[in-house]
Amino acid sequence: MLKMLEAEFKKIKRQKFILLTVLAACLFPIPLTIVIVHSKLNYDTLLMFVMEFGFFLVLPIVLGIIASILFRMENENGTLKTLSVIPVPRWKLLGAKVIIIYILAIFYGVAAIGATMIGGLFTGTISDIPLKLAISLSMSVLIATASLPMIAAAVVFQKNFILPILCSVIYAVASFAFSVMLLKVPAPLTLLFRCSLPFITANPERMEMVENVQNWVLPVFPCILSLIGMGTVCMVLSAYIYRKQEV
Amino acid sequence: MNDLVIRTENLTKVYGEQEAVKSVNVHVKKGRIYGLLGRNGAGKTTIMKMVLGLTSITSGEVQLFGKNIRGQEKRIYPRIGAIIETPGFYPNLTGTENLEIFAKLRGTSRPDAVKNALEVVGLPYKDKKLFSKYSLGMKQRLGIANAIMHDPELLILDEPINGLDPIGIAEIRKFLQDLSKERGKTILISSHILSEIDLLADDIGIIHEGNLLEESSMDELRKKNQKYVLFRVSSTATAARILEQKCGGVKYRIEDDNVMRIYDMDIDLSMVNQAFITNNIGVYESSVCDESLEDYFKEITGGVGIA
Repeated sequence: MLKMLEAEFKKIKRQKFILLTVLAACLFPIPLTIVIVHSKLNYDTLLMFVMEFGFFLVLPIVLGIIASILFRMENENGTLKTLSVIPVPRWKLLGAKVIIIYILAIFYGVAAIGATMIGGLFTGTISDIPLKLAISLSMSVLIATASLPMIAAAVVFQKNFILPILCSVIYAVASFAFSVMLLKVPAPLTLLFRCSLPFITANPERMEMVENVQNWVLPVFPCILSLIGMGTVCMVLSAYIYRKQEV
Repeated sequence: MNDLVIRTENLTKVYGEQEAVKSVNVHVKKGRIYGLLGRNGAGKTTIMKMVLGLTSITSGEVQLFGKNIRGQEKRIYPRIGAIIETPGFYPNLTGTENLEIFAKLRGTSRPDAVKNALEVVGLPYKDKKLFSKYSLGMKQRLGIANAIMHDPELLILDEPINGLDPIGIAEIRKFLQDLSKERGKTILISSHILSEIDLLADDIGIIHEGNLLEESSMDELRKKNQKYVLFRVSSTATAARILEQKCGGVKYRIEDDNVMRIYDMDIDLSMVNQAFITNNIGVYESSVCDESLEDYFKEITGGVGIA
Protein backbone atom coordinates (compact mmCIF):
# COMPACT_ATOMS: atom_id res chain seq x y z
CA MET A 1 0.00 0.00 0.00
CA LEU A 2 2.95 2.29 0.69
CA LYS A 3 4.09 1.81 -2.90
CA MET A 4 0.59 2.68 -4.08
CA LEU A 5 0.59 5.84 -1.99
CA GLU A 6 3.98 6.89 -3.28
CA ALA A 7 2.77 6.29 -6.85
CA GLU A 8 -0.40 8.32 -6.18
CA PHE A 9 1.68 11.25 -4.95
CA LYS A 10 3.87 11.04 -8.07
CA LYS A 11 0.78 11.00 -10.29
CA ILE A 12 -0.46 14.34 -8.94
CA LYS A 13 2.84 16.06 -9.75
CA ARG A 14 2.17 19.13 -11.94
CA GLN A 15 -1.61 18.81 -11.44
CA LYS A 16 -2.48 22.50 -11.61
CA PHE A 17 -5.64 22.48 -9.50
CA ILE A 18 -4.02 20.53 -6.65
CA LEU A 19 -0.92 22.75 -6.78
CA LEU A 20 -3.13 25.81 -6.69
CA THR A 21 -5.10 24.64 -3.65
CA VAL A 22 -1.90 23.66 -1.80
CA LEU A 23 -0.46 27.07 -2.60
CA ALA A 24 -3.70 28.78 -1.51
CA ALA A 25 -3.62 26.89 1.79
CA CYS A 26 0.00 27.96 2.36
CA LEU A 27 -0.67 31.60 1.51
CA PHE A 28 -3.79 31.74 3.66
CA PRO A 29 -1.96 33.33 6.64
CA ILE A 30 -1.29 36.59 4.82
CA PRO A 31 -4.85 37.88 4.17
CA LEU A 32 -6.17 36.43 7.43
CA THR A 33 -3.45 38.14 9.45
CA ILE A 34 -4.31 41.42 7.76
CA VAL A 35 -8.04 40.93 8.51
CA ILE A 36 -7.36 40.13 12.16
CA VAL A 37 -4.95 43.02 12.74
CA HIS A 38 -7.04 45.64 10.94
CA SER A 39 -10.51 44.66 12.14
CA LYS A 40 -9.33 43.90 15.68
CA LEU A 41 -11.43 40.74 15.52
CA ASN A 42 -11.72 38.29 18.33
CA TYR A 43 -9.63 35.23 17.41
CA ASP A 44 -12.41 32.78 18.30
CA THR A 45 -14.83 34.59 15.96
CA LEU A 46 -12.37 34.31 13.13
CA LEU A 47 -11.77 30.65 13.95
CA MET A 48 -15.52 30.00 13.85
CA PHE A 49 -15.75 31.79 10.51
CA VAL A 50 -12.90 29.68 9.06
CA MET A 51 -14.37 26.46 10.46
CA GLU A 52 -17.90 27.08 9.22
CA PHE A 53 -17.15 28.37 5.75
CA GLY A 54 -13.72 26.89 5.14
CA PHE A 55 -14.32 23.42 6.55
CA PHE A 56 -18.01 22.88 5.85
CA LEU A 57 -18.34 24.62 2.50
CA VAL A 58 -15.01 25.12 0.70
CA LEU A 59 -13.13 22.01 1.84
CA PRO A 60 -15.77 19.44 0.70
CA ILE A 61 -15.98 21.11 -2.72
CA VAL A 62 -12.17 21.11 -3.06
CA LEU A 63 -12.03 17.45 -1.98
CA GLY A 64 -14.80 16.58 -4.46
CA ILE A 65 -12.90 18.23 -7.31
CA ILE A 66 -9.67 16.46 -6.32
CA ALA A 67 -11.50 13.11 -6.16
CA SER A 68 -12.88 13.77 -9.62
CA ILE A 69 -9.38 14.57 -10.93
CA LEU A 70 -7.84 11.48 -9.32
CA PHE A 71 -10.37 9.03 -10.71
CA ARG A 72 -10.84 10.61 -14.09
CA MET A 73 -7.10 10.77 -14.79
CA GLU A 74 -6.95 6.96 -14.83
CA ASN A 75 -9.87 6.64 -17.20
CA GLU A 76 -9.11 9.53 -19.49
CA ASN A 77 -5.47 8.57 -20.04
CA GLY A 78 -6.06 4.82 -20.32
CA THR A 79 -3.80 4.17 -17.34
CA LEU A 80 -6.47 2.05 -15.65
CA LYS A 81 -5.78 -0.55 -18.38
CA THR A 82 -2.04 -0.38 -17.75
CA LEU A 83 -2.58 -0.68 -14.00
CA SER A 84 -5.05 -3.55 -14.38
CA VAL A 85 -2.54 -5.55 -16.43
CA ILE A 86 0.20 -5.23 -13.75
CA PRO A 87 -2.17 -6.20 -11.94
CA VAL A 88 -3.07 -3.51 -9.38
CA PRO A 89 -6.27 -4.48 -7.53
CA ARG A 90 -8.94 -1.83 -7.89
CA TRP A 91 -9.66 -1.75 -4.16
CA LYS A 92 -6.01 -0.89 -3.52
CA LEU A 93 -6.12 1.85 -6.13
CA LEU A 94 -9.31 3.20 -4.58
CA GLY A 95 -7.79 2.97 -1.09
CA ALA A 96 -4.65 4.86 -2.14
CA LYS A 97 -6.70 7.63 -3.71
CA VAL A 98 -8.92 7.94 -0.63
CA ILE A 99 -5.85 8.14 1.63
CA ILE A 100 -4.44 10.91 -0.60
CA ILE A 101 -7.74 12.78 -0.19
CA TYR A 102 -7.53 12.38 3.61
CA ILE A 103 -3.90 13.58 3.65
CA LEU A 104 -4.78 16.64 1.56
CA ALA A 105 -7.83 17.31 3.79
CA ILE A 106 -5.60 17.27 6.87
CA PHE A 107 -3.08 19.52 5.15
CA TYR A 108 -5.73 22.05 4.10
CA GLY A 109 -7.42 21.95 7.53
CA VAL A 110 -4.26 22.40 9.57
CA ALA A 111 -2.99 25.06 7.14
CA ALA A 112 -6.24 27.03 7.47
CA ILE A 113 -6.23 26.90 11.27
CA GLY A 114 -2.48 27.58 11.33
CA ALA A 115 -3.18 30.64 9.22
CA THR A 116 -5.70 32.03 11.69
CA MET A 117 -3.29 31.28 14.52
CA ILE A 118 -0.59 33.42 12.93
CA GLY A 119 -3.14 36.25 12.80
CA GLY A 120 -4.13 35.51 16.39
CA LEU A 121 -0.50 35.75 17.54
CA PHE A 122 -0.35 39.29 16.15
CA THR A 123 -3.45 40.38 18.08
CA GLY A 124 -2.47 38.42 21.16
CA THR A 125 -5.98 36.96 21.56
CA ILE A 126 -5.03 33.37 20.86
CA SER A 127 -5.27 30.66 23.48
CA ASP A 128 -5.41 26.83 23.69
CA ILE A 129 -3.25 26.30 20.60
CA PRO A 130 -2.80 22.50 21.02
CA LEU A 131 -6.55 22.01 21.57
CA LYS A 132 -7.42 24.08 18.51
CA LEU A 133 -4.92 22.21 16.39
CA ALA A 134 -6.35 18.91 17.63
CA ILE A 135 -9.87 20.11 16.77
CA SER A 136 -8.77 21.19 13.28
CA LEU A 137 -7.05 17.86 12.71
CA SER A 138 -10.11 15.87 13.85
CA MET A 139 -12.43 18.10 11.85
CA SER A 140 -10.33 17.61 8.70
CA VAL A 141 -10.53 13.82 9.07
CA LEU A 142 -14.26 13.96 9.76
CA ILE A 143 -14.94 16.33 6.86
CA ALA A 144 -13.05 13.94 4.56
CA THR A 145 -15.18 11.07 5.94
CA ALA A 146 -18.36 13.06 5.37
CA SER A 147 -17.12 13.72 1.82
CA LEU A 148 -16.92 10.00 0.96
CA PRO A 149 -20.28 10.12 -0.90
CA MET A 150 -18.56 12.54 -3.31
CA ILE A 151 -15.79 9.99 -3.84
CA ALA A 152 -18.46 7.42 -4.66
CA ALA A 153 -19.84 9.91 -7.21
CA ALA A 154 -16.35 10.38 -8.65
CA VAL A 155 -16.03 6.59 -9.05
CA VAL A 156 -19.47 6.17 -10.62
CA PHE A 157 -19.05 9.09 -13.01
CA GLN A 158 -15.30 8.69 -13.61
CA LYS A 159 -15.71 9.05 -17.35
CA ASN A 160 -17.24 12.47 -16.80
CA PHE A 161 -15.45 15.44 -15.28
CA ILE A 162 -18.24 17.95 -14.74
CA LEU A 163 -20.90 15.63 -13.30
CA PRO A 164 -18.99 14.51 -10.17
CA ILE A 165 -17.87 18.11 -9.55
CA LEU A 166 -21.46 19.26 -9.90
CA CYS A 167 -22.54 16.54 -7.46
CA SER A 168 -19.86 17.73 -5.00
CA VAL A 169 -20.92 21.37 -5.23
CA ILE A 170 -24.61 20.49 -4.81
CA TYR A 171 -23.83 18.14 -1.92
CA ALA A 172 -21.63 20.66 -0.08
CA VAL A 173 -23.88 23.70 -0.68
CA ALA A 174 -27.09 21.81 0.16
CA SER A 175 -25.54 20.32 3.33
CA PHE A 176 -24.31 23.76 4.34
CA ALA A 177 -27.75 25.27 3.72
CA PHE A 178 -29.42 22.50 5.77
CA SER A 179 -26.96 23.28 8.57
CA VAL A 180 -27.46 27.05 8.69
CA MET A 181 -31.24 26.55 8.48
CA LEU A 182 -30.98 24.09 11.39
CA LEU A 183 -32.74 21.37 9.35
CA LYS A 184 -32.57 17.79 10.54
CA VAL A 185 -31.59 16.28 7.20
CA PRO A 186 -29.40 13.16 7.67
CA ALA A 187 -26.69 14.32 5.25
CA PRO A 188 -23.22 13.37 6.57
CA LEU A 189 -21.89 16.95 6.43
CA THR A 190 -25.00 18.28 8.22
CA LEU A 191 -24.71 15.58 10.88
CA LEU A 192 -21.09 16.57 11.43
CA PHE A 193 -22.06 20.23 11.67
CA ARG A 194 -24.70 19.39 14.28
CA CYS A 195 -22.28 17.57 16.53
CA SER A 196 -19.34 19.92 16.07
CA LEU A 197 -21.17 23.21 16.61
CA PRO A 198 -20.40 23.36 20.37
CA PHE A 199 -16.68 23.04 19.56
CA ILE A 200 -16.46 25.60 16.84
CA THR A 201 -18.83 28.32 18.03
CA ALA A 202 -17.31 31.54 19.35
CA ASN A 203 -20.27 32.04 21.74
CA PRO A 204 -21.02 28.75 23.53
CA GLU A 205 -22.96 30.58 26.26
CA ARG A 206 -25.30 32.18 23.73
CA MET A 207 -25.81 28.87 21.96
CA GLU A 208 -26.96 27.24 25.20
CA MET A 209 -29.59 29.92 25.60
CA VAL A 210 -31.27 29.29 22.26
CA GLU A 211 -33.59 26.33 22.62
CA ASN A 212 -33.94 25.33 18.96
CA VAL A 213 -30.16 25.27 18.55
CA GLN A 214 -29.90 23.15 21.68
CA ASN A 215 -32.43 20.71 20.25
CA TRP A 216 -30.68 20.65 16.90
CA VAL A 217 -27.19 19.83 18.22
CA LEU A 218 -26.34 16.13 18.34
CA PRO A 219 -24.09 14.22 20.73
CA VAL A 220 -20.60 13.59 19.32
CA PHE A 221 -20.15 9.84 19.72
CA PRO A 222 -23.32 8.55 17.97
CA CYS A 223 -22.79 11.14 15.28
CA ILE A 224 -19.26 9.98 14.55
CA LEU A 225 -20.47 6.37 14.53
CA SER A 226 -23.13 7.30 11.97
CA LEU A 227 -20.47 9.04 9.86
CA ILE A 228 -18.19 6.01 9.98
CA GLY A 229 -21.14 3.78 9.03
CA MET A 230 -22.09 5.96 6.08
CA GLY A 231 -18.45 6.24 5.03
CA THR A 232 -18.02 2.46 5.15
CA VAL A 233 -21.11 1.95 2.98
CA CYS A 234 -19.78 4.52 0.49
CA MET A 235 -16.36 2.84 0.36
CA VAL A 236 -17.77 -0.68 -0.07
CA LEU A 237 -20.10 0.57 -2.79
CA SER A 238 -17.27 2.48 -4.51
CA ALA A 239 -14.97 -0.56 -4.37
CA TYR A 240 -17.68 -2.78 -5.84
CA ILE A 241 -18.48 -0.35 -8.66
CA TYR A 242 -14.80 0.35 -9.36
CA ARG A 243 -14.03 -3.38 -9.57
CA LYS A 244 -16.90 -4.00 -11.94
CA GLN A 245 -16.05 -1.17 -14.32
CA GLU A 246 -14.52 -2.42 -17.56
CA VAL A 247 -11.75 -0.54 -19.30
CA MET B 1 -0.27 -29.11 -25.23
CA ASN B 2 2.26 -28.04 -22.59
CA ASP B 3 4.04 -25.71 -24.95
CA LEU B 4 0.95 -23.53 -25.28
CA VAL B 5 1.35 -20.21 -23.51
CA ILE B 6 -2.12 -18.95 -24.47
CA ARG B 7 -5.03 -21.23 -25.10
CA THR B 8 -8.61 -20.06 -25.41
CA GLU B 9 -11.53 -22.40 -25.53
CA ASN B 10 -14.77 -21.26 -27.16
CA LEU B 11 -14.01 -17.72 -26.06
CA THR B 12 -17.08 -15.59 -26.59
CA LYS B 13 -17.91 -11.97 -25.88
CA VAL B 14 -21.33 -10.44 -26.28
CA TYR B 15 -21.94 -6.70 -25.99
CA GLY B 16 -25.68 -6.23 -25.69
CA GLU B 17 -27.12 -7.76 -28.84
CA GLN B 18 -23.81 -7.93 -30.67
CA GLU B 19 -21.54 -10.97 -30.54
CA ALA B 20 -18.08 -9.42 -30.83
CA VAL B 21 -16.12 -12.66 -30.42
CA LYS B 22 -17.63 -16.01 -31.37
CA SER B 23 -16.29 -19.23 -29.84
CA VAL B 24 -12.68 -18.46 -30.62
CA ASN B 25 -9.96 -21.06 -30.00
CA VAL B 26 -6.54 -19.45 -30.12
CA HIS B 27 -3.36 -21.44 -29.53
CA VAL B 28 -0.16 -19.48 -28.96
CA LYS B 29 2.95 -21.63 -28.68
CA LYS B 30 5.92 -20.90 -26.43
CA GLY B 31 8.69 -18.86 -28.01
CA ARG B 32 6.67 -18.05 -31.14
CA ILE B 33 5.26 -14.82 -32.52
CA TYR B 34 1.55 -15.20 -33.13
CA GLY B 35 -0.02 -12.60 -35.38
CA LEU B 36 -3.71 -11.96 -34.95
CA LEU B 37 -4.79 -10.49 -38.24
CA GLY B 38 -8.12 -8.87 -38.93
CA ARG B 39 -9.84 -5.75 -40.09
CA ASN B 40 -10.65 -2.94 -37.65
CA GLY B 41 -13.50 -4.10 -35.42
CA ALA B 42 -12.92 -7.79 -36.18
CA GLY B 43 -12.55 -8.64 -32.48
CA LYS B 44 -8.74 -8.68 -32.04
CA THR B 45 -8.64 -6.17 -29.19
CA THR B 46 -11.62 -7.81 -27.45
CA ILE B 47 -9.82 -11.18 -27.48
CA MET B 48 -6.70 -9.56 -26.03
CA LYS B 49 -8.75 -7.72 -23.41
CA MET B 50 -10.39 -10.97 -22.34
CA VAL B 51 -7.02 -12.71 -22.16
CA LEU B 52 -5.76 -9.90 -19.93
CA GLY B 53 -8.90 -9.78 -17.78
CA LEU B 54 -9.70 -6.22 -18.88
CA THR B 55 -13.15 -7.20 -19.99
CA SER B 56 -15.40 -9.97 -18.73
CA ILE B 57 -15.72 -13.22 -20.65
CA THR B 58 -19.29 -14.01 -21.72
CA SER B 59 -18.51 -17.71 -22.14
CA GLY B 60 -15.54 -19.98 -22.72
CA GLU B 61 -12.21 -19.87 -20.97
CA VAL B 62 -8.67 -18.57 -21.21
CA GLN B 63 -5.63 -20.54 -20.14
CA LEU B 64 -2.30 -18.79 -19.72
CA PHE B 65 0.85 -20.83 -19.09
CA GLY B 66 -1.38 -23.89 -18.80
CA LYS B 67 -3.60 -22.43 -16.08
CA ASN B 68 -7.10 -21.02 -16.14
CA ILE B 69 -6.78 -17.30 -15.41
CA ARG B 70 -9.77 -17.14 -13.06
CA GLY B 71 -8.42 -16.58 -9.55
CA GLN B 72 -4.80 -16.82 -10.78
CA GLU B 73 -4.49 -13.22 -12.00
CA LYS B 74 -2.03 -12.18 -9.30
CA ARG B 75 0.35 -15.01 -10.25
CA ILE B 76 -0.09 -14.98 -14.00
CA TYR B 77 -0.31 -11.33 -15.03
CA PRO B 78 3.11 -10.25 -13.67
CA ARG B 79 4.56 -12.65 -16.28
CA ILE B 80 2.96 -10.61 -19.07
CA GLY B 81 3.78 -7.30 -20.69
CA ALA B 82 1.03 -5.68 -22.71
CA ILE B 83 -0.13 -2.74 -24.76
CA ILE B 84 -3.84 -2.58 -25.44
CA GLU B 85 -5.14 0.04 -27.87
CA THR B 86 -3.26 3.29 -27.19
CA PRO B 87 -0.59 3.16 -24.48
CA GLY B 88 -1.94 4.59 -21.22
CA PHE B 89 0.32 7.04 -19.39
CA TYR B 90 -0.02 10.17 -17.26
CA PRO B 91 0.25 13.25 -19.50
CA ASN B 92 1.53 15.49 -16.70
CA LEU B 93 4.62 13.32 -16.18
CA THR B 94 7.71 12.63 -18.28
CA GLY B 95 8.31 9.25 -19.89
CA THR B 96 10.83 8.31 -17.21
CA GLU B 97 8.49 9.38 -14.39
CA ASN B 98 5.70 7.33 -15.92
CA LEU B 99 7.85 4.22 -16.19
CA GLU B 100 9.16 4.72 -12.65
CA ILE B 101 5.59 4.61 -11.34
CA PHE B 102 4.77 1.38 -13.17
CA ALA B 103 8.14 -0.16 -12.24
CA LYS B 104 7.45 0.58 -8.58
CA LEU B 105 3.93 -0.85 -8.73
CA ARG B 106 5.24 -3.97 -10.47
CA GLY B 107 7.97 -4.32 -7.89
CA THR B 108 10.59 -4.47 -10.65
CA SER B 109 13.76 -5.50 -8.87
CA ARG B 110 16.40 -4.26 -11.32
CA PRO B 111 17.32 -0.66 -10.49
CA ASP B 112 18.23 0.11 -14.09
CA ALA B 113 15.07 -1.44 -15.56
CA VAL B 114 13.57 1.91 -16.59
CA LYS B 115 16.80 3.13 -18.16
CA ASN B 116 17.33 -0.13 -20.05
CA ALA B 117 13.76 -0.25 -21.34
CA LEU B 118 13.98 3.32 -22.60
CA GLU B 119 17.31 2.59 -24.28
CA VAL B 120 15.85 -0.44 -26.05
CA VAL B 121 13.06 1.61 -27.62
CA GLY B 122 15.32 4.58 -28.34
CA LEU B 123 13.82 7.09 -25.91
CA PRO B 124 15.97 9.32 -23.69
CA TYR B 125 16.25 8.60 -19.97
CA LYS B 126 15.43 11.44 -17.54
CA ASP B 127 14.22 13.60 -20.40
CA LYS B 128 12.18 16.65 -19.35
CA LYS B 129 9.59 16.28 -22.10
CA LEU B 130 6.12 15.54 -20.74
CA PHE B 131 4.15 12.58 -22.10
CA SER B 132 1.46 15.01 -23.31
CA LYS B 133 4.05 16.48 -25.70
CA TYR B 134 5.07 13.10 -27.13
CA SER B 135 4.37 12.22 -30.75
CA LEU B 136 2.25 9.13 -31.47
CA GLY B 137 5.40 7.18 -32.32
CA MET B 138 7.08 8.17 -29.05
CA LYS B 139 3.96 7.19 -27.11
CA GLN B 140 3.99 3.81 -28.80
CA ARG B 141 7.68 3.34 -28.00
CA LEU B 142 7.05 4.22 -24.37
CA GLY B 143 4.22 1.69 -24.33
CA ILE B 144 6.59 -0.99 -25.60
CA ALA B 145 9.20 0.07 -23.02
CA ASN B 146 6.61 -0.34 -20.28
CA ALA B 147 5.57 -3.73 -21.62
CA ILE B 148 9.13 -5.13 -21.66
CA MET B 149 10.52 -3.35 -18.59
CA HIS B 150 9.96 -6.27 -16.20
CA ASP B 151 11.32 -8.86 -18.65
CA PRO B 152 8.02 -10.71 -19.13
CA GLU B 153 7.72 -14.18 -20.63
CA LEU B 154 4.73 -13.21 -22.73
CA LEU B 155 4.10 -10.00 -24.64
CA ILE B 156 0.60 -9.09 -25.76
CA LEU B 157 0.80 -6.18 -28.16
CA ASP B 158 -2.29 -4.67 -29.72
CA GLU B 159 -1.33 -2.81 -32.91
CA PRO B 160 2.09 -1.81 -31.50
CA ILE B 161 3.39 -0.25 -34.70
CA ASN B 162 0.54 2.25 -35.03
CA GLY B 163 1.99 5.70 -35.51
CA LEU B 164 5.57 4.55 -35.98
CA ASP B 165 7.59 5.77 -38.95
CA PRO B 166 8.99 3.15 -41.37
CA ILE B 167 12.40 3.10 -39.65
CA GLY B 168 10.71 2.81 -36.27
CA ILE B 169 8.58 -0.07 -37.55
CA ALA B 170 11.67 -1.89 -38.81
CA GLU B 171 13.47 -1.32 -35.49
CA ILE B 172 10.55 -2.60 -33.42
CA ARG B 173 10.11 -5.57 -35.77
CA LYS B 174 13.77 -6.49 -35.39
CA PHE B 175 13.54 -6.03 -31.64
CA LEU B 176 10.47 -8.28 -31.34
CA GLN B 177 12.08 -10.92 -33.56
CA ASP B 178 15.22 -10.87 -31.38
CA LEU B 179 13.10 -11.14 -28.24
CA SER B 180 11.41 -14.20 -29.64
CA LYS B 181 14.35 -15.92 -31.33
CA GLU B 182 17.17 -15.11 -28.92
CA ARG B 183 15.38 -14.86 -25.62
CA GLY B 184 12.53 -17.27 -26.19
CA LYS B 185 9.76 -14.78 -25.45
CA THR B 186 6.27 -15.53 -26.65
CA ILE B 187 4.53 -12.70 -28.44
CA LEU B 188 0.89 -12.26 -29.36
CA ILE B 189 0.62 -9.32 -31.70
CA SER B 190 -2.44 -7.95 -33.43
CA SER B 191 -2.47 -5.89 -36.56
CA HIS B 192 -4.58 -4.97 -39.51
CA ILE B 193 -1.42 -4.48 -41.56
CA LEU B 194 -0.95 -7.66 -43.57
CA SER B 195 2.63 -7.02 -44.60
CA GLU B 196 3.68 -6.54 -41.01
CA ILE B 197 2.19 -9.83 -39.86
CA ASP B 198 3.71 -11.48 -42.92
CA LEU B 199 7.19 -10.22 -41.98
CA LEU B 200 6.95 -10.78 -38.25
CA ALA B 201 4.73 -13.69 -37.31
CA ASP B 202 5.61 -17.37 -37.03
CA ASP B 203 1.96 -18.31 -36.61
CA ILE B 204 -1.14 -16.55 -37.72
CA GLY B 205 -4.78 -16.33 -36.71
CA ILE B 206 -7.15 -14.66 -39.14
CA ILE B 207 -10.15 -13.15 -37.45
CA HIS B 208 -13.18 -11.77 -39.21
CA GLU B 209 -16.40 -10.50 -37.65
CA GLY B 210 -15.56 -12.24 -34.37
CA ASN B 211 -14.77 -15.62 -35.95
CA LEU B 212 -11.31 -17.12 -36.09
CA LEU B 213 -11.36 -18.27 -39.70
CA GLU B 214 -7.87 -19.70 -39.91
CA GLU B 215 -5.08 -20.60 -37.54
CA SER B 216 -1.83 -22.01 -38.85
CA SER B 217 1.88 -21.44 -39.05
CA MET B 218 3.05 -18.93 -41.62
CA ASP B 219 5.07 -21.69 -43.30
CA GLU B 220 1.96 -23.83 -43.76
CA LEU B 221 0.06 -20.84 -45.03
CA ARG B 222 2.77 -20.01 -47.56
CA LYS B 223 2.66 -23.62 -48.79
CA LYS B 224 -1.09 -23.40 -49.06
CA ASN B 225 -0.98 -20.19 -51.04
CA GLN B 226 -1.51 -21.08 -54.63
CA LYS B 227 0.20 -19.97 -57.76
CA TYR B 228 -2.07 -18.44 -60.37
CA VAL B 229 -2.01 -16.82 -63.80
CA LEU B 230 -3.13 -13.24 -63.81
CA PHE B 231 -4.86 -12.03 -66.95
CA ARG B 232 -5.50 -8.36 -67.65
CA VAL B 233 -8.07 -8.34 -70.46
CA SER B 234 -10.53 -5.98 -72.13
CA SER B 235 -13.58 -7.82 -70.71
CA THR B 236 -13.47 -10.43 -68.00
CA ALA B 237 -17.13 -11.36 -68.57
CA THR B 238 -16.46 -12.38 -72.17
CA ALA B 239 -13.16 -13.97 -71.19
CA ALA B 240 -14.91 -16.08 -68.55
CA ARG B 241 -17.47 -17.26 -71.11
CA ILE B 242 -14.72 -18.26 -73.53
CA LEU B 243 -12.83 -19.99 -70.71
CA GLU B 244 -15.93 -22.01 -69.80
CA GLN B 245 -16.43 -23.00 -73.43
CA LYS B 246 -12.82 -23.91 -74.25
CA CYS B 247 -11.58 -25.28 -70.93
CA GLY B 248 -14.66 -26.29 -68.93
CA GLY B 249 -14.02 -26.93 -65.24
CA VAL B 250 -11.02 -24.62 -65.00
CA LYS B 251 -10.71 -22.85 -61.65
CA TYR B 252 -10.69 -19.10 -62.03
CA ARG B 253 -11.74 -15.91 -60.23
CA ILE B 254 -12.81 -12.56 -61.61
CA GLU B 255 -11.27 -9.62 -59.75
CA ASP B 256 -12.96 -6.80 -61.67
CA ASP B 257 -14.01 -5.88 -65.23
CA ASN B 258 -10.45 -6.29 -66.50
CA VAL B 259 -8.57 -8.61 -64.16
CA MET B 260 -9.07 -12.33 -63.66
CA ARG B 261 -7.03 -15.14 -62.13
CA ILE B 262 -6.72 -18.70 -63.35
CA TYR B 263 -5.67 -21.10 -60.61
CA ASP B 264 -5.28 -24.18 -62.81
CA MET B 265 -1.53 -24.15 -63.52
CA ASP B 266 -1.71 -27.17 -65.88
CA ILE B 267 -3.72 -25.21 -68.38
CA ASP B 268 -2.18 -24.51 -71.81
CA LEU B 269 -1.65 -20.75 -71.56
CA SER B 270 -0.90 -20.29 -75.26
CA MET B 271 -4.25 -21.92 -76.04
CA VAL B 272 -6.05 -19.58 -73.59
CA ASN B 273 -4.29 -16.56 -75.06
CA GLN B 274 -5.17 -17.61 -78.57
CA ALA B 275 -8.81 -18.25 -77.61
CA PHE B 276 -9.11 -14.80 -76.05
CA ILE B 277 -7.52 -13.06 -79.05
CA THR B 278 -9.57 -14.91 -81.66
CA ASN B 279 -12.71 -13.86 -79.79
CA ASN B 280 -11.67 -10.21 -79.92
CA ILE B 281 -10.67 -9.96 -76.29
CA GLY B 282 -7.72 -7.65 -75.78
CA VAL B 283 -5.02 -9.35 -73.65
CA TYR B 284 -2.85 -6.68 -72.01
CA GLU B 285 -1.02 -8.83 -69.48
CA SER B 286 -0.62 -12.46 -68.52
CA SER B 287 1.77 -13.44 -65.77
CA VAL B 288 2.36 -16.21 -63.27
CA CYS B 289 1.95 -14.95 -59.67
CA ASP B 290 2.09 -16.27 -56.12
CA GLU B 291 -0.95 -15.64 -53.99
CA SER B 292 -0.04 -13.17 -51.25
CA LEU B 293 -1.30 -13.11 -47.68
CA GLU B 294 -3.62 -10.32 -48.74
CA ASP B 295 -5.04 -12.52 -51.50
CA TYR B 296 -5.52 -15.32 -49.03
CA PHE B 297 -7.13 -12.96 -46.56
CA LYS B 298 -9.54 -11.73 -49.22
CA GLU B 299 -10.30 -15.27 -50.25
CA ILE B 300 -11.21 -16.57 -46.82
CA THR B 301 -13.02 -13.47 -45.60
CA GLY B 302 -14.85 -13.08 -48.88
CA GLY B 303 -14.02 -9.42 -48.68
CA VAL B 304 -12.28 -6.79 -50.68
CA GLY B 305 -9.16 -6.49 -48.59
CA ILE B 306 -8.07 -5.45 -45.16
CA ALA B 307 -7.06 -1.81 -44.99
